[in-house]
Amino acid sequence: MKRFSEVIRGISCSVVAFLAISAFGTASAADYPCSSVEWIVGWGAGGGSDSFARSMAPGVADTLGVPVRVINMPGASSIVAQEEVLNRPADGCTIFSITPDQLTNEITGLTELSHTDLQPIMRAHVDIGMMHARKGGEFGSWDDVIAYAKDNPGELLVGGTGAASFDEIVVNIVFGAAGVEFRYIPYEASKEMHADLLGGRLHVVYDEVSVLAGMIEAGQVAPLIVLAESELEKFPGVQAARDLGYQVPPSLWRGAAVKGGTPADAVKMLEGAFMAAADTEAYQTFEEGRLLNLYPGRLGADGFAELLAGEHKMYADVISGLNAN
Amino acid sequence: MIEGLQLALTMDVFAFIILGTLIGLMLGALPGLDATTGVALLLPVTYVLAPVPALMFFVSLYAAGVFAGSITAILFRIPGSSEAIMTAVEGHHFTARGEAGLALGVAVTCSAIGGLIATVALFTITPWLASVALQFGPSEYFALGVLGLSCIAAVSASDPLKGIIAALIGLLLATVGIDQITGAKRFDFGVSSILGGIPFVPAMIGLFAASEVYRRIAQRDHTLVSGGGRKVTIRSALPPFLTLLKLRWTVLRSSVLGLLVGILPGAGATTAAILSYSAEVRMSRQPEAFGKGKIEGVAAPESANNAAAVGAMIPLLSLGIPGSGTTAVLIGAFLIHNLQPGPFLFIENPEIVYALFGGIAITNVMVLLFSIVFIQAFAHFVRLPYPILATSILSVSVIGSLAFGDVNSVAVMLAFALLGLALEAARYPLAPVVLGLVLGPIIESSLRRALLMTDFDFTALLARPITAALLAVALLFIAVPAVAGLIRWWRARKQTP
Repeated sequence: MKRFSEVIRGISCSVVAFLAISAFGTASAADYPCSSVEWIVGWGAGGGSDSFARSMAPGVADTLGVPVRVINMPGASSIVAQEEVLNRPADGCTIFSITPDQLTNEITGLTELSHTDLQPIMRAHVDIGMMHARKGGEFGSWDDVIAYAKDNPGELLVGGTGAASFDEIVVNIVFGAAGVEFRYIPYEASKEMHADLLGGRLHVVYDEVSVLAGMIEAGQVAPLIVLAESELEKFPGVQAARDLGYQVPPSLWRGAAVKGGTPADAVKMLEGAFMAAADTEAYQTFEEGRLLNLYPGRLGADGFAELLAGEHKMYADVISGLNAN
Repeated sequence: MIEGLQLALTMDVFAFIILGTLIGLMLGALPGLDATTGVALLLPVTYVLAPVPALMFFVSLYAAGVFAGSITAILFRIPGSSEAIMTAVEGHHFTARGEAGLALGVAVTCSAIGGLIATVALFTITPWLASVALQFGPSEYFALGVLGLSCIAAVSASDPLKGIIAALIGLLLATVGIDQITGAKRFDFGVSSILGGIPFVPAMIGLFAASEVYRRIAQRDHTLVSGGGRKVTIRSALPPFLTLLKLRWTVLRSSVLGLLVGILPGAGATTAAILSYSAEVRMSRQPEAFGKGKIEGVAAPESANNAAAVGAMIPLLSLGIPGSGTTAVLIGAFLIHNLQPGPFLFIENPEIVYALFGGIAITNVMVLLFSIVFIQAFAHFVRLPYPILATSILSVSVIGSLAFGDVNSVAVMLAFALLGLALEAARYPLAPVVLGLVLGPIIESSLRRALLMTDFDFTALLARPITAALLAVALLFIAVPAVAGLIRWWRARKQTP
């Protein structure tokens, strides 16, 4: 017997795929070597990676001409899912949702698996990070934060999700560049962190714009700096890290990969299908709704592979610095 | 407000409430599938709907899903979802006694009442409750967790020492997985599936459902209802009015407690159910009757978990911070319709907010109506010969565990089945294990986070009034029975020179 949840998911996905196909007219039936594709998401249903996969899958299925089923396999920052993908044949019939967590998991030693075991397909978008304070709280600007940190060394409380995680690395890069001491407070779920920020128990939090846009708009939270090369049109007046002379930390991104060693023609077809899917209305609406289009993030297989190698080095440097302290 | 209710009652919206309730009941009753998964899976399907019907659909699915887990909990000791865990502890005794109808009836009625009480709070004091929720930081969560643990004695009245040992087993198991504060690996033995912690639902299914099947097989106890061939009949799902009247304070207390725990982003319906159950044992004049099938032990967690589920909507709608896992997924449902949950929604689209409130109220009534039919359908299973039932329960246990990841979840389920079997054979209570497993991570990571914030100054934690008050109550809970025991022992000694 097939897993029941998989069957349900399969049905719902095929319904969506069917709707998508009928909406976009005829499907271009390419000769993809699999009768169906499974997209394994290492995070729970409803999260950022899951919504990404579900908004993208119909478009990919449309181009490949075979159904694409999204399967959630949450656990251990998607290490469980990565293992599953690497245990399957390298035939392009299984897609893996990749985020910077694959790099940090590897560097911190949570897993023996490496990002080099994977063949990148495409980076779809960048989710810009910002440093936030409570609106109407004691910190009206980034300068206030730095001044407080200088007057009270080690007293500045900065929240982020996960320990020895992407967030902690980013926070370290930013405050390292600013040259001030701080205390990083790790959270398992961002909801508790947000409550602690609004409740006045944290001074600053790091979070991505897709997560906090609503709270910014509602006037609960104020962005202080944006961790990018330049100011964003969406948030005028919020200084960019580069403009402050800081090293810009890597951004959170989401993309797709397959097992390393997948035949080149399958990779090529997948890359094409993903690029096409990124232009579909379903995906574009998703990007727009979550403000994932503030910064150009789309990269093909080769550019993505290069980026992974570069960021791997950057994270490794920061983490070895953290461990040295 | 009135317009909101009217909007919820328009035909095209109402139809989706009914659909959501039905799907929620079905998903909730199946172990391994819960409202969170249901909302996430059906999200893409609702792209085509207008925002109000789509959101109504999800809200009703969510509210119904929280209740439905209790049906299998009472009948087969399978908690369909984690919130139903205390119901499984207490409720299954009723099935064994041939009184499944009573327990189910009380469960569904109290769920509906708990949900409705919380909905009233939703309509009236949402902003105030949201500000209360913001008062809770790491130190308060720590104190709340300790308060929960102080109830170990309450949930193991017959032998407190065995209760403490069982709770320690739970706490020990709760340390498995990535350390939330340092990111280090703990007790994973190279198995990545437990790196994120022991998967809770497979563990619970094993501990309660599967272990029960194995016990019956081992003891050749092949009747679900003990006491011979007495037929199980579930004539009416509605309990006698007098029973309900007797439970009025239990339901009221538990609903308020459930609502308060539910609004906290760091605690959920499961914690609410556990706390209200323990509170009820504390308040009871016959604490020793709990754990053996006392109706208050079903009414309390059921009122509390539904009140908590509704309460979780409060921080979501007023602050934009989800109060639970499912409400976090609900954010997605808002976003795809270009609505941002939070204080803005109240100002910009108050009609949607009030329609949602109305929808939640209606769903609670619908759950009551549909459950009558639903429970009748399930009752047929109880009459099946036990060998067939046993294989079905085990199959469902395996499938339900698989839904939570990979084959290793099934291994976890089986390991917990053995643990449950061993513990029950040695007359250790199972409820404290759950207590430790649920509260362990809250207590540990909250305390460590709180200490990080205060630079390891314990006194700074006690300076926070809510923390101090909660810890004081916990101390009282621990001290009073201990002192009472000492006095009894001293008097007994005086009488026997």
